[in-house]
Amino acid sequence: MKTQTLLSRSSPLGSSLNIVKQTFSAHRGKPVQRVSFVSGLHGDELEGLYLCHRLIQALRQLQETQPEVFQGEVHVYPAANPPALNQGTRLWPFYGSDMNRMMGPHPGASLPVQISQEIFKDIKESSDLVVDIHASNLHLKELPQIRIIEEFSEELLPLALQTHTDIIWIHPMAGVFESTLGYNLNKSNIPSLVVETGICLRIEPDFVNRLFHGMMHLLHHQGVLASLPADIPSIPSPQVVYPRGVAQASAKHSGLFVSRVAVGQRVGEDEIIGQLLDPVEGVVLEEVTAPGNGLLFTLREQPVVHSGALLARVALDREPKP
Amino acid sequence: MKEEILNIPTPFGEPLILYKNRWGPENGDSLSIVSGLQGDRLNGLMVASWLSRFLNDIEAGKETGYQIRGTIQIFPIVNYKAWETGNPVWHFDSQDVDLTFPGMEVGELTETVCNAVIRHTAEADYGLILQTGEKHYEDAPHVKLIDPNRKRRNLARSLGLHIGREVEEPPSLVLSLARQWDLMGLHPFILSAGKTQTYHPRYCDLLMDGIVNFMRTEGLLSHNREKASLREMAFFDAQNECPVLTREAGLFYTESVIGTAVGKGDKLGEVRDLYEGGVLEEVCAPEEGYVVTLRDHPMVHEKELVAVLLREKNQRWFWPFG
Repeated sequence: MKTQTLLSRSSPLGSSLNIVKQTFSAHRGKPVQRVSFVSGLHGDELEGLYLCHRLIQALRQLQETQPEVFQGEVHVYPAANPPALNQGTRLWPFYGSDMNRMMGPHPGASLPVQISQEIFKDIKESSDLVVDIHASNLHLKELPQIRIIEEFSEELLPLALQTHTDIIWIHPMAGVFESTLGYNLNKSNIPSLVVETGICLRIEPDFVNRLFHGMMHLLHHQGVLASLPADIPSIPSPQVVYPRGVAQASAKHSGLFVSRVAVGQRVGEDEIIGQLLDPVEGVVLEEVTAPGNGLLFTLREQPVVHSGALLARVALDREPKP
Repeated sequence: MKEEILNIPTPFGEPLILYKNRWGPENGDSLSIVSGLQGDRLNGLMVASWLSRFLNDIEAGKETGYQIRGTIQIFPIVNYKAWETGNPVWHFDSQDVDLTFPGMEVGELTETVCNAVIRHTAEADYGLILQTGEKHYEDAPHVKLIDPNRKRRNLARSLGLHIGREVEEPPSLVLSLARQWDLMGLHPFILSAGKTQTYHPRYCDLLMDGIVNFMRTEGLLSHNREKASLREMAFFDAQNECPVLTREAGLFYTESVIGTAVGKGDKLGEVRDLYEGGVLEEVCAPEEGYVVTLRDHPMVHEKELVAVLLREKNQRWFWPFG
């Protein structure tokens, strides 16, 4: 493993801001493919850091014991936003900037813009395939899933099927993706899978374990690893859902949402999945029901909600007719 | 006339209410003015309040000679939750409101708020957004033009701020209010002056004078004796902006004045060591230009942006009689 500091900035306090990349090179000759894993663009999303740790640990061991297995090159960027990770915040703390909204063409030359642009350039130049790992925000817990924008689905779906996620969600393009790492890499013809899993500021070891197995399978499938360690199990196929195959429940009132279910559970249409409560008057405002039959893959964890807030998403067993 | 544009119950009692002020006939030319997109930008808030009183006084017959001819709307506060804490964003979702337009009619609170503003401004002909420099920077008063053309440059001239900055609008900013207004067919202008968390009376006077002049030039306001005027203005395009970066990390002591012209090699400030006070670097202007943005916070990293110069070449002057 080779440790590189892809960029460094001295801080006025005397320390340095360093972005580190770990590289596992091909055993010999030109790599068959270069795969990069990126995490920590948002400093409160820790699942990716743990996944990167698992990958680095396993790949180091493999390189020590079976170096000939490496036919391709792996780059791991475990902590893309160190200032935010150190503070446990989603945004770059000194500026309040979202690094994953500054990728691709972006105006300005502030420090977060410069760093985002340099990371983007480095990933773009050193990758043939990228996995960008995110946890959810403070509000929602997500089953391990890969999200694919419709226009990239033909190329990305076969790759995503190699990973151990519960769901592959193919969804329409939206303006919010324009400045993200994943979208801009895909637009630059570098296939990029965006992983969402768990919830921010926490680690779900089981989710990460499954993703770790999935990522090792992906490396094997792409020929980067000629074989897999014996302790990596085979993986089941994820459920692929298209836009009409996802139904969501939203709050009709403002209040406290207390759920009765857990992500990963199968739910039936109109089954009660939680209650919206008025904490001041002590009344139940709403019995919240599942919007369809299927797999509950998103669930509200932060209980304080305003009317209209997303409470749950279900991957439907059957898409409704148009 | 103060009108509710959104009334959302909150989980703990008091509803969240957003207001606009509206004057004039329903069917005339229409101007929308928005401030308070972030919760730390005071100049816009002060200008919105002053303008509201001025327009109320006209309606009440207290401003002799003036008449309201078109529809004028002012939205003083958009990110209500951020204003409660004085931070640029609401910490509950860490979302930049100015990257959330057009929002959603039913969605998370910030999305709903943005959608209300979009719905209430959809019919306007012109839109003004009141801003300051980004966090840790001060802006000289200037107008930012999106997708500039002859018509927009002419409109900008009546805003009286002397400097027109023709900004790039990459896809990453598609969810900004200005860009959404542009897509909706409004003529959007961003008026930026000063810095966050600071009320700057002189800048506010300039903005108020310019906005009133704009209203009169475009026939939204009339006066029975005085004529509105087009004003001298220089336009600078995005390619001719010159960012000035430090070489060293430390404390930046500025020696330049915002809103003034500097020559090539002129000293803009110096970087001193935080611990020992020694001068590490003299920061000089790499080219001649107009200082439109200047660092306000002294702590700087290596290669930190401390100033933006608008370079003289390719500027287009429009004189009042031109």
